[in-house]
Amino acid sequence: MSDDHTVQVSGDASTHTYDEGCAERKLTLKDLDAEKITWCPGCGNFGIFIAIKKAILNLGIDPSQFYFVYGIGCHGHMVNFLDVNGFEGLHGRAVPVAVGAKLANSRLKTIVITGDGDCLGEGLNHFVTAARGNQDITVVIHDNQVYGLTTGQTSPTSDKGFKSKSTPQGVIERPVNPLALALTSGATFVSAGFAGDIRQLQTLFEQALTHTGFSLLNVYQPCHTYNKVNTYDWFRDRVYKLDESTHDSSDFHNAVKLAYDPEKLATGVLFQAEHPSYEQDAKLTESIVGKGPNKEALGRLLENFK
Amino acid sequence: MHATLPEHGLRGVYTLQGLLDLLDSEQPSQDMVDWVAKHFEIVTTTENLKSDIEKALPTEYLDIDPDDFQWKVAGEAGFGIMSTGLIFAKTCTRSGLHMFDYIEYPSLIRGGHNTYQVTARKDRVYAQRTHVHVLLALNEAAIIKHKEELAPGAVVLYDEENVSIEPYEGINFYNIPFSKIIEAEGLSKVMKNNIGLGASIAVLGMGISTLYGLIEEMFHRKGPEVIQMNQKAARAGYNHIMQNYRVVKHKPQVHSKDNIVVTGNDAISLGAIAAGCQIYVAYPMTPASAILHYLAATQKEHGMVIKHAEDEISVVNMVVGAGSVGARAMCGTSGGGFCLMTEGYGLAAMTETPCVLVNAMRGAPATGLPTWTEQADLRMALHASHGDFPRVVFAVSDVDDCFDLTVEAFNVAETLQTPVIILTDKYLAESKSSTAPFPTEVPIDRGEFSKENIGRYNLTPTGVSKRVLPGTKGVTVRSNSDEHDEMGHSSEDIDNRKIMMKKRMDKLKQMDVPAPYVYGPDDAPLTVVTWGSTKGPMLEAIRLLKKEGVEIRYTNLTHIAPFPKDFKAIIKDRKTMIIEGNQSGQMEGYIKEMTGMSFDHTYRKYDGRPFYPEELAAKIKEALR
Ligand SMILES: Cc1ncc(C[n+]2csc(CCOP(=O)(O)OP(=O)(O)O)c2C)c(N)n1
Ligand SMILES: [Mg+2]
Repeated sequence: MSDDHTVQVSGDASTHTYDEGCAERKLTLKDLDAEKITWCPGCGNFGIFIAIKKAILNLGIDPSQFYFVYGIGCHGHMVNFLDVNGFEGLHGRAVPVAVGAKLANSRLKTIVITGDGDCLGEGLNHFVTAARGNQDITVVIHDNQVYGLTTGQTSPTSDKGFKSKSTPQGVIERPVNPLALALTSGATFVSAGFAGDIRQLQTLFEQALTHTGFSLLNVYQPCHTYNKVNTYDWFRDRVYKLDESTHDSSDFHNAVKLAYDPEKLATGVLFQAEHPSYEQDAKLTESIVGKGPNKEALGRLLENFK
Repeated sequence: MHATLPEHGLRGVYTLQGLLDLLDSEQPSQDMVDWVAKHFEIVTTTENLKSDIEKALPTEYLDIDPDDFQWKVAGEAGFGIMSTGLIFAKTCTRSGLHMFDYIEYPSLIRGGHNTYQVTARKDRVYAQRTHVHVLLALNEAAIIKHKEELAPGAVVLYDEENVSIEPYEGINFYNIPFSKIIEAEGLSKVMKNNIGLGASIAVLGMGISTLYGLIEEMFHRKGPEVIQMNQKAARAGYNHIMQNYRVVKHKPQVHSKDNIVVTGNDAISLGAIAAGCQIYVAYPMTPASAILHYLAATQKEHGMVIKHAEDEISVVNMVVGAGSVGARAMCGTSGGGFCLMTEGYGLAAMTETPCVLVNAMRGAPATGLPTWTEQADLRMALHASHGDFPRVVFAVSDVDDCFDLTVEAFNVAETLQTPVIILTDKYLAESKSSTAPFPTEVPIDRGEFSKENIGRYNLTPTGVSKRVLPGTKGVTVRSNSDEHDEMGHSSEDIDNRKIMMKKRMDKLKQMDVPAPYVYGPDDAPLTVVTWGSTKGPMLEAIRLLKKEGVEIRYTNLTHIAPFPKDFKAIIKDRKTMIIEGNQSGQMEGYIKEMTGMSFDHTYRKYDGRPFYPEELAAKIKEALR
């Protein structure tokens, strides 16, 4: 953009200035706060929120280079709490908004903040397709196994038999497994964390962000208010950390096995593979936002219609 | 009639008539004398060349005007009818004629009946006509189905061998023994259509060298042998007619040669390229798919990002995502896909994200009539998505409009920071017309930008915020689908809600809505109103009416929302008639809502077929009675 505040459309690339690398001013966690938080006390979202802020500071990338796309649910309210570029979209549709934004400006680190209902119910098709495309975005599922914002209905990850406002007799369907789904859909980075372990979450978020291609961070998140089954204690009894020195994250079949463990919930990077991202295959390495029309090409194309 | 027609022409000339035309600009020469001696057995001298040729020319001609005719090819789907039609259409424009074509095909790949008709004339053609002058019938059904369309004195090109019907009275049935020609000339069966093309060109007096050139372009990837064989096939068809049948009296006059031949879909694609659209996202759906196909096929040239997404919900959300970071983004679909887009369309409006949505209408609801035309998505376009927000809806009327309004749509979308809908329909989207080449330089207005941390929805007197883009250092850009404040934070505050609603709605006041153009004399007794693609058949209907001494006033709507302010004034105190392509009179109701006016006469059509000029002229005469 030029100084008179109009996008230059004649040039080839955007005249936008980017400052990757460390921000010159010293930022603190507080600098990333926007409005007053309205999550219920004890909500798992707090842990995820803090971990994300810490990761942003630790990565040393200027906050202006992030683009957070939010779904609709309690998780999505983060749009008001985090003072970083964001787009709060429609229920279930955060993933395609993020994909479109990344295609247009591949220099933005694009993150989807979504819920189990948002991502695996309403928007499941987008999740599978973006994973399959290895779109270069990071998807963080706030998996509280319930619809929080709409006051407690069953969700696609609720365990069979879960009693909720919409399933007072217990839900009949069996749950979707987000990790296995991501793996079998072609995601190249599949990880799980626990909202009660901020330090590990921060590391996982940083790893997911630095991965090229589709990365999933599924966060086991207690919902104090509407999920009385999957509580902090319930999770603490089940989560364990993958031993980085012995776990082979390139072993796809082992990752699927871990994802389907009926007893325990593995946390850490279950699977990671190197594979060109959609953007790399499509040769999108710059922002296309300031690109003007190609008049010569149009002239040539018009000739073909004679 | 003639001796052997030469395989190789003399400077692009193959016939005696052609040589006569050449003599208008060139002196008679010895090579001409030798040429007519060799191929036409005319022994003459340079002095007598002209008069001897004139003597040898046929004296009986077809009663078809080579400067104003309609040609049609019909047969079973899957036999190259579309490419045959396109070659013929281009032969017309390169011969100096204007043209319009109209195709009909069922929603299946093989079998079923396909047609491609080309209306050619010395001046701009706006619509297909009812009467066919030359019918290239590739099977018997093609003759039977189109019997009623044949103009008196028309020519039917057919193969006697495959047809059991008796020739109709007053119609010239020209037998082309396709299989015999193929055998005799050592051609392949797939070249049948080129024989038919050569025959058509001969009947209508056009030059075989123009056809040769097009065949060469068409098959240039397949090598010189394939080109030669196909040209040979065309030549065989041409010779067969010239040696056995009457043809038109003269070749078409050259009126303008530089025209392009484009469909509405082509023109929208080219408009998007001209406007500097940076990303196009779509999910295939007839009749909008060709935009995706064309932009994808030419991507290496124009460099736009093209994405075939998983569904139309994803399509619109991707476009909103791209628009939200500052890209010029567009998507295209038909009614069914647009239904899926409606929530995302509202998201674009609420988040004030510029984007352009093309809806190419087809017979509806549900899957409806996939390959047929209708104008029944108007109300959906006007009311799509929940809630109140500024609505901008254009309805393109011809290929020029497709180009111009696509450019305008991007400018409006970006200067007002709101989604813009372009309504087109199967009839316009897939019909080709000739027109002057589009400009490569168009006005581009991307609106106002800022690098300050003033919030995505900073308030201004016009309601249009200065746009801040993600990636700008020191700035937080927050777009929000919840009601929000200037900074993009969710807000349920009473005053804020009112301010923000007003801000969004006020933006429309910045838009210049041109008053629709009025055709015809001011004192004519009837004003006819149409919208979108109905303009083509209407302009042709007006021509027909004029020939009968009937004058009307006529206006066509392209800027649907916001509605042109002075509309009622331009209608004047006349009897009124509205013609539209849907069952319930969607535009009629909308105009009533906007102006309070009622129409004295209506004509509606919803059978999937386009309006025909003759049909409209008849309805208008009824209204005038
Ligand atoms: C199209 C649409 N359908 C339904 C809703 C209502 N709705 C809002 S949030 C939500 C569920 C949220 O659940 P989840 O994604 O798990 O988020 P959480 O609140 O648990 O973080 C629903 C059904 C909506 N906003 N839009
Ligand atoms: Mg949830």
